[in-house]
Amino acid sequence: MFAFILRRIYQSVLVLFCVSLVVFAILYLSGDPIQMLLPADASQEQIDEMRRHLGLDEPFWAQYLSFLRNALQGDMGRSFTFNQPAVKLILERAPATLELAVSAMILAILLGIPAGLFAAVKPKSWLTQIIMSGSLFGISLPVFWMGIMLIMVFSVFLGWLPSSGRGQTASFGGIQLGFLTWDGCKHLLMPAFTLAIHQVAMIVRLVRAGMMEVMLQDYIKFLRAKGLSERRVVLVHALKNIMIPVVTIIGLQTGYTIAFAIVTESIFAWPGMGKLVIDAIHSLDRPVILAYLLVVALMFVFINFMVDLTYSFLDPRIRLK
Amino acid sequence: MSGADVILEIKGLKTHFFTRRGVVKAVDGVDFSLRRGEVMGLVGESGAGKSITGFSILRLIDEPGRIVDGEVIFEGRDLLTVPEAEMRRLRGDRLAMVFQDPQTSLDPVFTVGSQIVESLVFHQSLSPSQAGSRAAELLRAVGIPDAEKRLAAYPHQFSGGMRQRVVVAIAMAQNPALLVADEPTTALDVTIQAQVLTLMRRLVRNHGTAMILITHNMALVGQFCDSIAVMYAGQLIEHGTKEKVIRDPQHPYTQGLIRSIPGRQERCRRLDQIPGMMPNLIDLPPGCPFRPRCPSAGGDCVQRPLLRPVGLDHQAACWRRNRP
Repeated sequence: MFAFILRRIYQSVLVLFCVSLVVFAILYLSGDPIQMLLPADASQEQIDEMRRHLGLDEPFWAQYLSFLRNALQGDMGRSFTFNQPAVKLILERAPATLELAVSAMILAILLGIPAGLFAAVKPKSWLTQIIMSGSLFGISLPVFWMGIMLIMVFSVFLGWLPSSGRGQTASFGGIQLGFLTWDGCKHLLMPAFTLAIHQVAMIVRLVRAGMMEVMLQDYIKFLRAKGLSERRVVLVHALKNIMIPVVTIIGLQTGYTIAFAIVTESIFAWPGMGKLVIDAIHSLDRPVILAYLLVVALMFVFINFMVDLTYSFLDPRIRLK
Repeated sequence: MSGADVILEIKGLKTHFFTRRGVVKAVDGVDFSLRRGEVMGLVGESGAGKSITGFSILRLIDEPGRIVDGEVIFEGRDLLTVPEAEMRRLRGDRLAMVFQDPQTSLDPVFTVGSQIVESLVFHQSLSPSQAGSRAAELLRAVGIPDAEKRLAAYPHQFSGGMRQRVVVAIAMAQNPALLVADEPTTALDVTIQAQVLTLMRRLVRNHGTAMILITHNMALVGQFCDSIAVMYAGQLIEHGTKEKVIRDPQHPYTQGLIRSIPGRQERCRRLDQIPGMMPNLIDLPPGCPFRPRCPSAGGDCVQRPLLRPVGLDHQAACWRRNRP
């Protein structure tokens, strides 16, 4: 177990190193931030001065090495546009994005697993027809369209839910969280649901397919022959058996919802990392983009680590080595 | 085969499967009865309806199958009419089942102990600690060494034979009146088969449990059973005490089955076979289902023969009995 964790940490460091190198190279090739930062009529002297100041006059390897040296001390450089530490900018907004993504995933799990179970156990029910066609829509419809439709119905026509922003937040351990206040919850509901729709659809289909396979197994029949109730057979035995692929997908999708919350954040004017990064990409604000991608990569690595730990908990045949 | 201590009586049992290609009459009019403590071998080739008969007794038939007709009178009650909740109380308590493949009949992600305990808790309302010590007792009874420790192990940490012992322990946990064993040793090593069967026979003897041993292995039946029922194409075609059926088989199919057992005396002899294959159970032709393969079929065989007495404790469904 300890060796497993150590090796995962080592692998994570490697992954982060590779990500940083690739991203740094792409950014280096993708344009000159000086043109974005200075007015068009700036003199050549001003441009040279700016370039020296930001360290952009040095060759690629020198720039990368100095970035790496600083990054190892937790300093990803200062944002060109905001003139603040990039890490600080990202971390200020990370809670909003994380809150949105985690709420979306919790919503997806709470809706998707029961719906998938029902669809598998009662394949002929009318509700199953609705669940399955609904999940097809959920997979097919674009997120931005769903978001706009929700705003139209619940904010414009019905006026029940606010259409933008995060609302009131409360501080918990120094982190601003919206779901602690009623207003924050109301603001969170629609964006979280928008982000969750696709994931619900995916979980429904995965749970249903897995259940239909497991329910044909001999041990299910043997459990019934023991006299166990159908509820215990399905909710305890069958469910635990299908959790491995479900947990895998939940883990991967949590990463994706964090990374791709950008669309939802734009629709609902959610003050998360997404908006910051879009702006940073437009202005070629290298430190912010780098810091963002490294933070996201770190989250992916962490989530997958948690998924691996969950595996060994769910299935005794899987050992962590 | 009658008497006051009959615990199971099956009359006209029909279990059909309604598939897209037609109705499969997997079990089509089966009658037999079983006395307390009797071990009956239910033999026949694959697809003859032996397992479906067994599952029908516990009412564990999955879609698209359905028990369409008949009675299963167990301890005086027709099981086909009791409500599902009551049926659940009987399963694993008075009625138990052992499956063919021990590799797949235990849930792989729960410990063996928890799988024994859960049925004890359900049927006897034992407290978890009582159930735990009872579970260890059960494992010891089926010959698993170091039982307390093994409770915490998972099915994949047991060998096939040991796993089947666990399955038997679960099945016998409540001293059932009837145990349906569906090819319990087919998936095991030959050396382990006899061990597991001997264990099962000892347990059912000690508890007065009646057992239906479903198998296609004639030799096994001769060794372990009191009576033998032979199934063919969803019907019972011969039924009687072990001695009668093996020494003096009446139905041509049974005779063929017994001839095809490799004997000890005649080495280097080609084994006898029954020519042909069992007919498709969809659109079974009328009359005797064995007619197309029967060496002695005649004109009267277009009528379906019913099981009728051919001697003391011996029945067969053939028009031409005694004239093989």
